[in-house]
Amino acid sequence: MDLSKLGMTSAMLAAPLPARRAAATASQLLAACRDASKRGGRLVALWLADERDRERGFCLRVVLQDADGLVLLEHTMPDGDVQYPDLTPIFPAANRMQRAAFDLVGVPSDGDDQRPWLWLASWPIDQFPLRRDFEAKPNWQQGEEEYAFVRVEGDGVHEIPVGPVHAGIIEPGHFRFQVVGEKVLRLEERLGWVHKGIEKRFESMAIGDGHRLAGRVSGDSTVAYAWAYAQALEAIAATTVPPRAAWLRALLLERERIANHLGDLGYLGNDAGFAFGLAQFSRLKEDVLRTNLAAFGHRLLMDVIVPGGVDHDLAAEHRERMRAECATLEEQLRIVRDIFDEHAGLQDRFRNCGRVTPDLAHQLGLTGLAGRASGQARDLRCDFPVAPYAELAVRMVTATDGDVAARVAVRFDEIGESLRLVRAIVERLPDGECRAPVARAAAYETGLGMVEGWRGPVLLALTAGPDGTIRRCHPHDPSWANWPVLEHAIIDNIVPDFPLINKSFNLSYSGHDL
Amino acid sequence: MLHILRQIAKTGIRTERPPAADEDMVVVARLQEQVLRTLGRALTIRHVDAGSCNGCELEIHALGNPYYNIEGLGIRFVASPRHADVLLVTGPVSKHMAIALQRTYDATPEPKIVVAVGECGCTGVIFGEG
Repeated sequence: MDLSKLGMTSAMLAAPLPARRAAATASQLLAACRDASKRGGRLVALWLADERDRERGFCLRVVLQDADGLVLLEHTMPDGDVQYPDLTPIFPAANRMQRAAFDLVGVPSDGDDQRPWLWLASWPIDQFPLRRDFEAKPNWQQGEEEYAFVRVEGDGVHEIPVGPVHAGIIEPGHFRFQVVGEKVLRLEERLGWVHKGIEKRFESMAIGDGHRLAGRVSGDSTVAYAWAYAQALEAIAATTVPPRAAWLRALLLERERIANHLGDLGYLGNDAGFAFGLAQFSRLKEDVLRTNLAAFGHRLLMDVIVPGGVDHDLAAEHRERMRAECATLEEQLRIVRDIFDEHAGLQDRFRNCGRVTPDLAHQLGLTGLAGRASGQARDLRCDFPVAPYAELAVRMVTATDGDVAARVAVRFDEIGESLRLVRAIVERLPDGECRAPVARAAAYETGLGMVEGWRGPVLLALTAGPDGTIRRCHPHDPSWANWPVLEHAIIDNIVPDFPLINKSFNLSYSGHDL
Repeated sequence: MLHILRQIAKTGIRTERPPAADEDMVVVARLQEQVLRTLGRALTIRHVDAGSCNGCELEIHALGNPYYNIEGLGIRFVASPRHADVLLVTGPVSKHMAIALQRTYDATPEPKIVVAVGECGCTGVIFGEG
């Protein structure tokens, strides 16, 4: 992104992919966002930091992505009474990020929608947990919150509230449907129930330990988050990861992708009334998790990626096991995919269900797996490959139908590609060390990490504090971009199809609520 | 249809024998007897995510896969706390979920058992307390 034509000066930013940073005035911020949007760029993340103790007021940080890489725009405001420009007209996904940023740091945008987003009356509304002078009081009582849902009125319109506790083994969140008969006119989501102060918690941790918390932002993406954290820290600590460690990290990421896609395919079958699919896929997933446990000591691969490399080398016997597993899985997938494809009842539920057209996906900034199923051809492993992906030449999977069937097809094809990658990594894994010492990160340096997790790109921005502390850490899940799109995907579908459509996106609550 | 039947037949029954009670558990066998007498031979569980990272949910789901086949042991996950004997709680109990969890507990009929799952549910660990 060429910022100089907007009169801005930019500098390199520590990150494993091309990234620059620039200070921006309010009008420059708007101009840069408009320019990025016009050229097909997207908003990745937006958050606030309290820098008053360094006499820099509050800092709004906005990360944009375009074909050239990432840009971090920093807009400084002297105090909390100043507003920053609402970015929602340019990037609709900014709406919830801005509201969440206000809930946590207390600086509003100048937009119309000032409803709280993560605030659920657990702390006083004039207290902001991510301000440096915030103190939690044990005597704060849980209050009542009246959230202003948008209502649809008219003959026969009624409202169905669902959640936060759902009738299944899933995360909590609230959905408010406005329906006529069975048809959904409007869905509004209300999230925040799994908010547990992760960003605040980071600030009391040593920078060398933060990868463990990052790995618990969203358990299903623990590898992606831990890798993104490691990337950010290694970038500001001038640490080079040994080649073997880089290859093992990719192996872990692809195994995480395979396991999650297998699980989702099973539940997508099940939600369409095809229990056979769940039985088959949950069995195949269990096999993968057991291999993970044997090879790396953890079924979900938590804490295997550490700053400087990986904590667990891969033994020769497990290489063999993975190679055999790839062959078995490929054969089993071929059989079950044929069954899925030929099953009229299943296809009837999948096709034309929860459609997000490529145009709408582009407008709303749909990202990751769901984005690729709606023609948004972006995959960090192809667009900005870090080692070893450049050598592996990942084949991006896309579809254009944008319905549940497309999201199913993308999952099938991505498992196939990940199996090819696992096999290639296991065969070509370089010898050597798998962990390097990490140097001390310079105080107040900011680094970015970004990894294409199974759900989509996971961004993590890390600012070091003095003496090996964390000053600010903002992990950003692709679910931020995709939750609002789910509200559009359900329009004109029937209520009983919501679980199926929701599952086809399978977004993270924990990764979003932080 | 033939493909489905062939795949089912070829896959066979994968369910493994459930593990025997742990040595340490034998000490509390009397408690177990009491529990069994009260609850009979079926157990219904209502899961509540109280701030989990969703890792525990993945593993609770895994209990239903053909290897563990938890329903085959007479243990079922139910949709309403009113149908539950056990509340299975994951996560460090975020402030935001405290009331929802309390309401779910209140809606569960007596006798009831609460089981905290995972390190976070038991101690909060990395997320800390309060």
